[in-house]
Formats: sequence, structure tokens, C-alpha cells
Amino acid sequence: MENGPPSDPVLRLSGICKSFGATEANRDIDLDVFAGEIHAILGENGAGKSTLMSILAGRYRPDRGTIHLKGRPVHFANPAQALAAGIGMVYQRFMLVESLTVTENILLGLGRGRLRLDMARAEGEIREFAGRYDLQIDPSQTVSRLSMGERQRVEILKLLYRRAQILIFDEPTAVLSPPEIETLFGILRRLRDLGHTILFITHKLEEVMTLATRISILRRGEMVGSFAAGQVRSRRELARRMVGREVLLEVERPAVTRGETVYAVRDLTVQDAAGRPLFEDVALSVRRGEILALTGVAGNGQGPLTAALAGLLPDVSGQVEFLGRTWAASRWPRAPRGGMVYIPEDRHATASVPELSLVDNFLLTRLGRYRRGPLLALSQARRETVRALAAFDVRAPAGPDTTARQLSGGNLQKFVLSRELAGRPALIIAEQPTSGLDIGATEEVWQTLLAQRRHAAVLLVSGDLREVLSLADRVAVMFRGRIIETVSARDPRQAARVGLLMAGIRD
Amino acid sequence: MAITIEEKTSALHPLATTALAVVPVFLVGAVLFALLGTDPLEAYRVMVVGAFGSWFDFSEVLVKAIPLMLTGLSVAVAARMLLWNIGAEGQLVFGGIFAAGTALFWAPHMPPALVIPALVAAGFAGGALWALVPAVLKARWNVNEIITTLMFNYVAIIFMEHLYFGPWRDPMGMGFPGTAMFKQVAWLPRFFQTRIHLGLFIALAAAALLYFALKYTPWGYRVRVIGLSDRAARYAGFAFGRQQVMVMLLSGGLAGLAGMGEVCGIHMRLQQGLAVGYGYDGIIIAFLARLNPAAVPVAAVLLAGLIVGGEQLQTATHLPASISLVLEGALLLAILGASFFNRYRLRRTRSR
Repeated sequence: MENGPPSDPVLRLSGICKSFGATEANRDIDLDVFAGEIHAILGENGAGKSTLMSILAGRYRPDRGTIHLKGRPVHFANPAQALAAGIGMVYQRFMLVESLTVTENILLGLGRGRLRLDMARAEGEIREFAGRYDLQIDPSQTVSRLSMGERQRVEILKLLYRRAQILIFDEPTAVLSPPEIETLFGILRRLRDLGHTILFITHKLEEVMTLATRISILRRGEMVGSFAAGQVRSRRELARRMVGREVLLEVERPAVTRGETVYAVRDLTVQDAAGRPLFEDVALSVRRGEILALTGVAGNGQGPLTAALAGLLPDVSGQVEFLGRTWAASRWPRAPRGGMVYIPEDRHATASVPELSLVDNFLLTRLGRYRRGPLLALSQARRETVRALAAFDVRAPAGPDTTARQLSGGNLQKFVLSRELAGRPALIIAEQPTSGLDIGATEEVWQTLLAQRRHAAVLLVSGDLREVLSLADRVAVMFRGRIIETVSARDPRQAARVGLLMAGIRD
Repeated sequence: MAITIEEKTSALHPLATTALAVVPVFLVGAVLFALLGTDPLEAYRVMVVGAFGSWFDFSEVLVKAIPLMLTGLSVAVAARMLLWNIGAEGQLVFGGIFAAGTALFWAPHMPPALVIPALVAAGFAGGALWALVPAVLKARWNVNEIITTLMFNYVAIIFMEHLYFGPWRDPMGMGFPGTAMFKQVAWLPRFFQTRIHLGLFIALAAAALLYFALKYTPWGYRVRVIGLSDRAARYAGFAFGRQQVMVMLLSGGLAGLAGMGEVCGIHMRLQQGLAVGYGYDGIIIAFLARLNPAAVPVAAVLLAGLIVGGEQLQTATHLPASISLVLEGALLLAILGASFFNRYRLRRTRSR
């Protein structure tokens, strides 16, 4: 292997262009990556980060431009070729077979052409490998039993086992708890010390500040700049470079007087088909004028609990009180829930139908309001859709005739909010309302939710610690199916404990 | 060398794709004719003239199109909700059985003005009933409706044979497998001195009504949403199972009307030759029409033209009429292929 002088980049991308139809995801991008650095690719959603990295990993082919690896031009037709050249990527959604063991997952697709697999030997080999990189993982464990952090380590091990020198991570912290994030950062630093080069995609400024040695910023498909981490003085400065304008990082929370209790649940419990509890003995209440955040690391029961709270989960035991009336939780799914709205996490396929127009999508949860005899009152629905789009500043290229698919993530979420909030609800259950949104859209969603406190109780389900602490009055933390504690988010000492509580640590 | 599938970013209008899909079918047919020793151009001429050459020929095409429109609508409306009703054939048979029973045993004791409405209702009810069990199995236990509706076809056909070979056989029929001919009051009115019967107007009205209902009613809206995204439908709180049962009953009922039309408009008795595959043709028609009820009549006339043309070809040359079956199959494949290639492209990739 030839090594140029130390100042030569190990990887040089020049003039990379990639379009999807009319959308230019990457426009004439140059990027140098040097051996042994932790290189953050920073940008808002839709800035083209994932596209660029996917080109590097062989998943997409650039329309134009060249990639030089150690000074030699390379062309990757598929991820396998990139991996053979030493470049591997850990995607946001892990590509593991849950029913197989760690070892089996790592061997999968290696196709070494052996007739018989010596599993014990392979396991020993992988154990040795994991030890060398200090990745704590049991190779004989089944993947379905692993936490998200552990699964991510399996993905890393998979790449290392295939001799990847350059490792790319797509938003690696999105699914991790704060302590797991610390562990990951330790692993990434160790990989660098052992001579690997790390690239990671993110839009979280904190991560860039703590981890990166070099930062490249993409904005709307173009490279804004690439510089050493030491040159950046503050998060604010980084944010400005990323979005191209000054962004408020602190949220203003005008005081709102608390009102009556709108919604309360007691003793909520539900079991899965195998009889294991998905969540147990959950009690919470939320009053008009306040935001209660329900938080926790993904997979600790918030998902099913949110469905139960929204009345979409059958066979729940316990009680639900809503606007002064009490229901057995088992009857809640069929109870009239006028005054309650639910903003689901999945806005692309649950809160909207991609193929339908915005007018049709506006009908989704408001069907009962647009009737004229046996027919749909389509012209009225259209008028109100137009009004809602304007009120929430939804950018829709063809107005009400735009299909939901054509909207960007931020605009789609604003559209969903405009629909759900049109009826001035008394209770809003918002699930991960800003996941995947850029800073600009996130702020708009936050301001909207804060404004709703004037007439509504808000239950915010979110795993984003910053969002939770910025918006909530109180925070209920879930761990292994239970709310282990509810703390005040306005008391700094209490708020500081939330991260530990998410990891199940109470003191 | 490997081949990968890539999503395309631009697509042709669906109508254009469907039109383009017809081209390879004609080429396949031409090759086939040439192999069988017939001049392809001459063969196509015979088919086109045979189907559309005169008003009488065309009226026969329309007659054939009546059951095809109804089974096409039957398959299309179910497929809009992602229910694959392969059982239109059996539902058609049951619609025919119910209509025949009404015509044989009930019509003579009924005010004449009520006979036709009773036949229509019976045909619809018979088809709907035959779809009920698969519908409930699907809605309650998520049993695959493709399998159940298909199996029910065989049961329906055997049950019908039992009726006309057994208890319902015409005692004066000299062993002919069929019931006695209905009294004239139970014959569907015919029009224009042809065999075109009331069923044509029922089918056209059903197509218009379905098109309108899907577009402009809350019911149709729910069907469309359920078909596009079941997650969104559940989120919106639509009664999923009930809607599935309703649509399957409607689908079965439409196919039942096709059977009623054949029994009371063409044969005037229940006899062999009712289950000749119109239910399966409905699948082709539904996809040819891209599940749009307004396009189903057009697709049905085209396919009926193909069938009638094939029959004419058999008369004029020595080619078998089943040549139209080959063309039908090629047509379905071409349409499915065209809608695939309108969304994706294949790409050759080099691998080392």
C-alpha cells in the first residue's frame, strides 16, 4: 500500500453532482478527508448529507464528479465494491437479522465459499476482534435481545471484520440514550486512535463540538465550507454557518396560567401476545396550560403507551379520564374523543397518505365535518385547507392540489399540525413532533406547541432531551415499561437528572 | 454482470402506458399467427371486422361485454381496498343460481312488475352471499382472501351442477343438463332487436355510480384511504373490518349481477356454460382499467372484442378460438409489465 505525504487526503471527492428528478441533492461538491480524522458532515435535513455519504459508500452513483481514494480514481457500482476498497457505512436503520446471532449476522453475506461453517471458530475470531476494538459484545447473543447501542456495535464490528478503514455513520446517536452516546463517542475515538478514519452525518451541534476534529457543512446540496474543529468558537457560530441565518437556540416560553386537569390515566397496563408487559401501572395527568413530556430511550414502552393514550391500542387495563368523564381503558378506543388530537411520529404514512392531495389529506381526521347530505363537502374542505396552509406557512408547490408526497418533512409536519389544530383541541398528544426536521422547522413546531398551551393540555412524547427540556413543564421518564419518575423541567437540578433517569439511574 | 432495479423519477401518464402495453401483445399475436401459417395482417383484419365490422357484430361484442363490465367492476372495487377478489367467477355463478331460483319458483306467484327488480336483487344477493364467508374470514382473522375466494369458485360451480343435474333439472328436458326455460315474465328485456339486454344499462349505471361514490362520498374516501395506506386509515379511526366486509359484499354482488344477466338475459335458464371464465376475465379488465370504474366499460368492450374476434377467426380460418385466450394472457402480462416499467428501470451493473 502506498502512502502519500501526510498532507494528502486519503479521500478526495471533486465536483460531485447527484439529482433525483428535479431535485438537486448534491451540487458540485468537493470534499477532502484526511486519514485519522473524525469528520462531521453537518447540515439541515435535506441538505444532501446522506446522499453524499451514500455515494461514497457505493449505494448511489454520482451523475458527475470523481472520487479519489489514496490518490487513485475509484468507481463503486454497489456497496460491496466500496467495502472491498475499505469504505463502509452504518445506516440509521440497522441492517441486521434480528433472529440471528451476532456472529451469524457478521458472517452473513461474506460468502467465503466454504461448505461447512465452523461457528465456534468464527465466534472466537469475532470475540477476539471485538476485544481488540474494545467493543463490548457477546458474539453468541441473538440480535433481537440487544439494545440499540449494542446493535450499533454489531454494525461497526461487521465493517471492521470486513477490513473497512473508512467508516461512515448516518446520524449515529439518533437511537441512543445519553449514556450510550457517551459509549459510542469513546468507541469512535478509539477507532481513530487505531488508525481508522471516521465520517459522521449529523445535524446536532453538540455532537460536532464534542467529537469532531474536522467539520464540513452542507447547505441545500452545496458545500458551504470545511474547516478544523478548533476554528469554531461556539455552537451559535456553527448554527449560523449551517442554516445561513441567526437561529434562536433558546426557546421563549411565555408564562401561561394552568387550568383544570384535562386528561389523566391510572394503572394503565398492557401485555404483548406472549404475556410480557409492554408497559405497567402507568399514571399521568396533564392540565390545560402545561406541557407534560413523556420521554425515554426508544423501546422502553413509550411507543405502545402513546398508542394506548391516543386510544389506538385495544385490551388495555386501567382508567382514562378525559374532560371530566372516566372510562375503563379497555373502552377508551371506542369512546368519543372529540377535543383530543394525536400527532403521530410517522407523518409520511400514518398522519398522511402520500398519494393523495392536501385537500384529501385534510379530510383524513376531519371527515365528519365535511359532509353535505350523503356527499363530501369538497369545496368547503378546499377553502379550509387553503386557509390552514396559509396560517401555518406550509410551502406547497401546487397549493391544495399538491400531493403529500411532494412536501418536505418540515412542511408536511406543519400541514399535519394545521389540520389537527384546526379544531382548537383541548388535548394534544404529539409524538416526536420534530424528529428529522431541520432547525428552522423545529422552531416553528415548538412555537406552535407552546402557543397551544393557551387553550390546551399538551402531552409531548419525545426522546430528544433538548426538546423535552426546552418545552416541557414536567417530564415523565419511562424505563422498562414504567414511569420511573416525573420531574419538573423548570428546576435546573431536577432537569439535569433526566438523562440519567432515561438510562434507569435514579440517583 | 448483475441487474438491479431502480426507481424512476419521471413517469408517463397511466393511459399512455396502457396504450403502449398493447403494442407488444399485437406483436406476440403476429408471431403466433405466422407460426400457425396464417398471414398476421389477414388474421387481425378478420378479428377486427368480425368484432366491429357491423352493428350486429358489435352488438354481440356489447352482449359479451355486459358480464365482463360487472366482473371487472367487482374485481376493481375490491382491489381499490387491496382486497384481491379472485372469486368473481363463483359469485357470478351464485348470482345466477339465486336469479334462476327466483325466476323458477317465485316469479310465477309475483306481480309481474316486481319480477325484474326481484331478479336483480336476487342476483346481487347471491353474489354477495358467496363473498360473505371469505369477507368475514379476512376481516376477523386476516385469512388470505385470494385463497378463499378462489376455492369458493369450485364449490359454487359444483353446487350449480348439482342443481341442474339434480333437483332443478328440467323434467321435460330429455336429459339436457339445465333447468326448464323461465316464464317470459322473468326474461330481461332486450333492446335494438339484438341480444343486448337490460344488464348493459345496469352495468353502465353501476360503473357511473361507483366512480361517483369513490370520488365524492365519505364512504369512497375511506375506501381510497384504506387502499393506499392502512396505517393512515387506522390512525383516522376508520372501521377497518366492517369496511372490508362491506366492499367484499359489494364486489360479490356486482359479480352476482353478471350471473343474473347471463341467466335471465341470455340463456333464460340455468344451464351448462354459465361458468366460462368471465370472473377471471374481470381481473384483466380491472387492471386494464387501472381500477378506475369509469374505465372498466371501455376495457370490457375491448376484451369482449378480442373474444368475439377470436370466435370469428375460428369460423373464418382453421385457427382455434382459444387464440384469444393467449392474447388475453399476453395483455395482462404486458399491462403489469408496463406499470412496473413506468415506475422502475432495470440497470446493468458491473461487479468485479
